[in-house]
Amino acid sequence: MASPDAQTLSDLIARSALKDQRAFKQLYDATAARLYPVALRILRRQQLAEDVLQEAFVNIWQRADSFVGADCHPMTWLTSIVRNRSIDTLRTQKNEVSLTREDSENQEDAQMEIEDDGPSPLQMLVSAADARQVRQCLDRLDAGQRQSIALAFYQGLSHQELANHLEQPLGTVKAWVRRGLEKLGRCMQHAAA
Amino acid sequence: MNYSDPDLLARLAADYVLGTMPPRSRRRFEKIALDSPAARRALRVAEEQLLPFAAQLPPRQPPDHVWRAIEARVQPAARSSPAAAASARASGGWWQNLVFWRSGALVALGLFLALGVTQFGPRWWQATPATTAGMGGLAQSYVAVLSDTGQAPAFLISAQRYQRDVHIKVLRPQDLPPGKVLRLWALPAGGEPQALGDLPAKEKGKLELLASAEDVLSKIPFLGVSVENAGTPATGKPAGEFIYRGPCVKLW
Repeated sequence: MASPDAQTLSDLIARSALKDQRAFKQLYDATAARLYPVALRILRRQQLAEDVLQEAFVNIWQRADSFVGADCHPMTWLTSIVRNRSIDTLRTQKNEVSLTREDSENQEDAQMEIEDDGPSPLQMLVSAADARQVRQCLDRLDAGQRQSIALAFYQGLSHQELANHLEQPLGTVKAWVRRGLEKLGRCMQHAAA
Repeated sequence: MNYSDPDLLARLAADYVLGTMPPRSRRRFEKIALDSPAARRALRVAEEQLLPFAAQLPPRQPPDHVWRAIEARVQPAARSSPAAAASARASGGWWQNLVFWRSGALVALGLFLALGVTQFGPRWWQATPATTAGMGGLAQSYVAVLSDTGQAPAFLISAQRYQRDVHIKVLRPQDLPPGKVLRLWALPAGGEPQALGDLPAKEKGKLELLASAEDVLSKIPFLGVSVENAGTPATGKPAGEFIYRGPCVKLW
């Protein structure tokens, strides 16, 4: 799918802010297929991801005016809304509904389904880097940093879950993430400059 | 903490965007960002650096019903203005979702009626001779099919018009964590939800209303189900959101 043009998306968001329903529908058609996987990756359950996508778009409709003049890429703005909602939902789910048997079965199904149809978090991070020609930034990270950032970013793992998953002490994982992010941030700044 | 330190803000912002920040810190950082332009800048920088990675996921079309649900919630009839929506949320969050619940639940109910109530068997649908015959010779009853947001039916609720028993048929078995129960609520238009009682997790069950179904349900447009801690009194407000809902209709 071709990446929607930033100017077109900005216009659609601006028109949605004026409560233009047709523009809003066009915005949805142009971006939903790219935003849905963002939620799906993190939540790993279709039902939850659909709910989050729905809530996010209602939110986008209500808050479209806050994008106007926000000086950021429209896709970044849209992605941040979907991601933040997904992460919040994931944390709430984990805290409140300790998984029931049915849930964990569903989750396993969904997990398999998602794991099967896509590359691993690390592969995605690397291919994203290819696309943005910042491969060298990633190369500067060590393996632990790269893997923990990829897992946190694409699967919404918390520090503690990263520590469990990677079988490393919590402090180590926190340091990997922090130093990895710092390095990545600095390098990307240079790349953008 | 000194939130004017750019390095600290950059670190917090990256932690926020990456999603590793714990929930309470997320809330705190969101508040800081509201007041602090420097924090907002840091957040934007972190987003611009990290979020493009999200665009690399293989695209996947969400199911059509997602758009239909969104559309139902942004219609002018449903939401006159963001301010009205905000105040509606403030005054009764559960109510705002009902508009789009209606379509799916009605379809489910229609299917249920069309396919023949008889298929579900007379075991739960026990008309007593004293009951006035309603539609199609069935007992006059209040009926609701409660579904989740994906519109998959989970509970069939029915109560004969002048009786206090509410019959529950579990259409999809519910596996609850220990210590949790599913509670049934009447959702009046523009009022607080009223607890009706707790639901069985599987097969079927019964609960007793404080008065006849006619008294309790005649002005209730919707029923909802929430997850509650077992043993909490069936009064007051629901602890969480309504995970199942459906219109409460009169079968006569």
